[in-house]
Amino acid sequence: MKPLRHYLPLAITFAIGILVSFILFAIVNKWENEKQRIEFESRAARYAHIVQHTIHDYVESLNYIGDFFNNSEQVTREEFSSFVLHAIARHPGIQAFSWNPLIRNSERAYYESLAREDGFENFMFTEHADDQKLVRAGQREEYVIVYYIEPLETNKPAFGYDIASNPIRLKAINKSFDTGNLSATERITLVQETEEQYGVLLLLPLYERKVSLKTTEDRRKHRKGFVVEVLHISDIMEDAMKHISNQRIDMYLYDLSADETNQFLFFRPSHTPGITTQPQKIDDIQKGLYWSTEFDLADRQWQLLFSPSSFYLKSRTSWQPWFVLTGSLLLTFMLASYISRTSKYTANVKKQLHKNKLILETTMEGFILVDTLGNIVDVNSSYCGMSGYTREELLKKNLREIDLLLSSEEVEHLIKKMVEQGRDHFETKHKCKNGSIIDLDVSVSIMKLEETHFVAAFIRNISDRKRIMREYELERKKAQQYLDTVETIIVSLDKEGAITMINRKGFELLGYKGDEMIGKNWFKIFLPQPEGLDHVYPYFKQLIAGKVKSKEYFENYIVLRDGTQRLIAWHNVLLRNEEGHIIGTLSSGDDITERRKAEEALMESEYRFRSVVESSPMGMHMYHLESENSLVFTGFNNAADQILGVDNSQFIGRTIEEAFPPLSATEIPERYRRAAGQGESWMADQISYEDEQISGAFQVHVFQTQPNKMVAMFLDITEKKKVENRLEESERRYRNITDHSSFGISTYDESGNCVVANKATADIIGATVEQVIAQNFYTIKSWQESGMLDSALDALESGRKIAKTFHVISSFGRDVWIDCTFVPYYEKRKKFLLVITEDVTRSKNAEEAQKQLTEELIIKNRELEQVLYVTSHDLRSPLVNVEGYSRELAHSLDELMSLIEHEPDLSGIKEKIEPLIKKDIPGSLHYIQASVLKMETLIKGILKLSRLGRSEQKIEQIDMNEMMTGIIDTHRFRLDKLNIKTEVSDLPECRGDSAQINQVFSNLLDNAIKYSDAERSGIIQISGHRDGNQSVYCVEDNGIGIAPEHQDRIFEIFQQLAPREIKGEGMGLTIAQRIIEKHHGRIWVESEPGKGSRFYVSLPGE
Amino acid sequence: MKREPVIILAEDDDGHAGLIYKTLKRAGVNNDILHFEDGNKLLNYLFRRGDDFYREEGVSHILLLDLRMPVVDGREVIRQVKQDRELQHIPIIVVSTTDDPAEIENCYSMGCAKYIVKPIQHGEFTEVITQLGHYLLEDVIPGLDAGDA
Repeated sequence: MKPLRHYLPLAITFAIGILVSFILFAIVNKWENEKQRIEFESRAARYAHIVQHTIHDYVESLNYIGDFFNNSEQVTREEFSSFVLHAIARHPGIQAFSWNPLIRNSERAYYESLAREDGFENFMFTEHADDQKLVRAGQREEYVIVYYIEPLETNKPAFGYDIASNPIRLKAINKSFDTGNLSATERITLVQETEEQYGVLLLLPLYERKVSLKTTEDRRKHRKGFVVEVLHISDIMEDAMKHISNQRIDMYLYDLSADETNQFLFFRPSHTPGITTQPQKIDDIQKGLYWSTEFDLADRQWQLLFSPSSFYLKSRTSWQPWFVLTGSLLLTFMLASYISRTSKYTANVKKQLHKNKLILETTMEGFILVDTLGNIVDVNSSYCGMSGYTREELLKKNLREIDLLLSSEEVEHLIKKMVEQGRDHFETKHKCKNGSIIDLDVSVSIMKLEETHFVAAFIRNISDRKRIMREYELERKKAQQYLDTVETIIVSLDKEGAITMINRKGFELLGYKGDEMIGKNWFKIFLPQPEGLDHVYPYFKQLIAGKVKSKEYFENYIVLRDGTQRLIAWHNVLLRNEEGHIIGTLSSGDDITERRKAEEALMESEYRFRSVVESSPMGMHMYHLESENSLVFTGFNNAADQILGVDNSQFIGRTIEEAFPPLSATEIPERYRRAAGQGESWMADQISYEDEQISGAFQVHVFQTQPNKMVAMFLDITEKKKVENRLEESERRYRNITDHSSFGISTYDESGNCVVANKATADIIGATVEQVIAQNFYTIKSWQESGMLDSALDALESGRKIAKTFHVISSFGRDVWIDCTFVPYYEKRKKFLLVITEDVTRSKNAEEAQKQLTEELIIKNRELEQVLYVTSHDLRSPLVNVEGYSRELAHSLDELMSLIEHEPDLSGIKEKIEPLIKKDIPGSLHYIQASVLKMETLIKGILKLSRLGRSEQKIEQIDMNEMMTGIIDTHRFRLDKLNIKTEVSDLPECRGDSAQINQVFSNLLDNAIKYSDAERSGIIQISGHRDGNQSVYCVEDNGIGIAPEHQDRIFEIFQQLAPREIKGEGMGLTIAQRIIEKHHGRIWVESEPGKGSRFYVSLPGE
Repeated sequence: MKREPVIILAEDDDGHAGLIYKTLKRAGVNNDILHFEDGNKLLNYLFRRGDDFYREEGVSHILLLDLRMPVVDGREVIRQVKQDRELQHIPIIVVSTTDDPAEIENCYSMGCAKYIVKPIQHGEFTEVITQLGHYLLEDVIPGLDAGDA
């Protein structure tokens, strides 16, 4: 029995020791792994965030270009180039931007030649041949040609490439056109790429502007082309990762929407020194530690996957679990040997101590006596109270059975001390019977009783104190962990802010040696001033005083030795002493300067958008569609405040219906929701809004900015509307005036169409307003005939007002005189012609009559003048004779009388008287008689002429053949006497007073006979013909003719060519002319002296 | 020996011509007076045309001219005479019933030396022609050279 009892404790010690060792190992190891996993995952998530933001930025730049196209009528190659080059410069992952219009086969030649005109002489549509060489594209119904591309230099092979020729791209093209959304291709090898790299095309479909694109059909119908962004996956990722310091994590990018074989897009190995890493299979990665996230790129789903490299794991592996294991195993062996040596003495010691029992029982301190094997020999009641065991229970136990919870170090230390000094004093833990653990202060000494060594221990319960101590210890451990983390700055400050500890990363970053910094005031020296002392330090003091709650996390800048600043993200912990009082802080910080820069760069595009928003003169309201019906106001710009005259911040967080109640009754909230949800842009030219705060009319333009987000841009058009109302009113007034005006007012556009006409316009020409409005002045016959058209065109061309009077015979049957004013003017850049007409027929007719009267008066006056002239000359001449010869007669009689008186013998004077009576007196009498006759003839002629002016005409159709025969008959005697022949051809009829016309031709025939040349046999030829509606007659003779200088004067009154030879009153032609004039005909002469004359008479034929 | 200048009277009215002739003779004008009934006959004489008698060499002429004449009127006569180098120095005195100032002005501008309106008032005709006779004797005839036409 005895040997067994002896070896039992040893065996138990072994068993428990080894078991505990392994359990401890397992726990510590698991804890370490968990800590590592969390750290890795948070790191991976941060990288993923940066990568996603970077990619988003690339996508946005394409949307900007899409907007540029959608807002431009036409984009030239140059405009495109200058617009996109800016974006390219800022994004190294962009291989190219291009504009790929959809081109029908019929347009191919045109587009090819246009590009050649732009200076690309060898431009043609290309595609890949089977051997992957670029060749001229075959004939297809449609092409999607890379027509503008930038930068051209590095993308020459793509220029002209028909992206629809590639099946992968064609799929994306069609899908994109149908949905109208941005789409991405799966991975492709770029046309312009020579290396094995993957690219992705982002295609943004564009459609014709200002058309409905609601259905797929609509979208197919109005396709216009694409703007395309060509991305280099690896360059984008490098762009993103440049902001991330090497963390020995492998990164993978997959396109989950692609076939399994095409999913892999990108692998970025961790740059582990000396190790070339190959991408692993995804299944393999997922066996180990990894972290992944999925996100959308256009219409595709991509996955980012991170896995720690082997080196990452190694650098972070903790040796703690192994240390725990080996340490506790060692302790187990040592204890076992110790127990075996001391157990036999235990019984004797018990006896010895029994003597001192009474003393021991009285003390408050626990007492326990153990033999060298650990068997409990004696124990006092105080200890029993502490441990919860009874004395009897304890005396059967070995010390190992009571869980002292000594650490292996403590055990080792204890043993060493015991051996060297025979005594020790230490603190330990103790597991009570009820399972609770108490802290103990133990004084141990070796006692030799009856040759046997015993260990006597005096024990005090120090649990309360130890609990506080443990908290402190825990913090210390945490501090140690931070210290271990190489990439993190650890700094500990006392209550005054002096540095009590700083780790390597900390002082190296700051540019100091570790011990230089200890004791220096953190806030004074290492923070930027004055914030460091003015703000951070007071806050720190309050924190230490327990007046404010500690912020677990905050960021601030620190100042390095060289004066530069770094941004650090801090985690803070308060340090307490054993009494629980705060004694300082422990902070760990990450240098996030680079990361922040990256984040700031990422946010730059957002800032840009923001600055556009802020500087926009258009008011903007931003909304977020939080659920199907809840469209929440999220933001606004300054212009919105100014335009609406309210502080828009009051609306933030409210739904559109709450913020603007009157809108509930309108379609607007639904429009907005559709814009945010479906990306349906919407525009309203005029929305009138009125509530207690806001009142006005607005032009609103609504579009989606991000999924479920939209912006409403608006302009205040209240003033514009007022002006429009005023215009409308004046237009109405103007219309009122024109409608009731007696002036015709009409307006024609430049192409001649009547735009507007009032009633007077129509009345004047005998039409209806509708008939006038249906007219185009180019085709109005009366405008052409009257000359109105010429004047209208003159006015339009010269831009000057033209006023004229026209005689118009309208196609509606009216014969009117119209005073017309043409006023050209511009309206909205178009030329119009305002035509103002006034019917002046009545006054015009009066004027015409007046004019005719005046003309007649002029003729009359001329005749009168002639008569007066003649009176003064021709009537005077005979009077001179009458007067003169009467005197001569008187003179002759005087002479006769004196002869008779002085010579009584009449026979004596016979010879003297004879010439007086036979010659002088008859001579005088002859002249007197002749002159009186002459005067009588002249006066008769004047009477005849005046009678002609007064007599009434009896107009009838005249048979001229018959009349001419009669005239010739009456002149037959003189013709025969002078041996003159007449020849009369067939004469046309004419209209006239037959007596007067007879007079005319009698006079002409009379003249022809009168002025016949005696030296040759006379011939008078009478002929006639029709000329239009006139009958023209000619009386031709071969008489003496008329010299040219006299041809004008022959029609004057009393003119005679040879008054001495030819008797006549000198009025024949005057009277003939007068008659012909009264018949609205004409009479004229052609003559050559010595050959003959031709008198022509023209009279109305019918 | 110097030949007396010949006075030419162009007058379509025989009665007028007779009255002028008698009055000039009574006024003391003893020069030969030739009478033509129209302008054409006058021009034939001056330019030595036709069958009738011609103007003689070495004799000066004075022209008394009526304006209204048949065939060729007085104005045409003035024009042709004034255009001829030999004849242009012949003094031309218009004697006409026309008192139209425009006509008078026209004749002076064509170069006639005097314009006399034939009056029809009682006694005035004889008086005016008598004065014309004095004017011829005192002013015109003494200024003529034998060499002139």
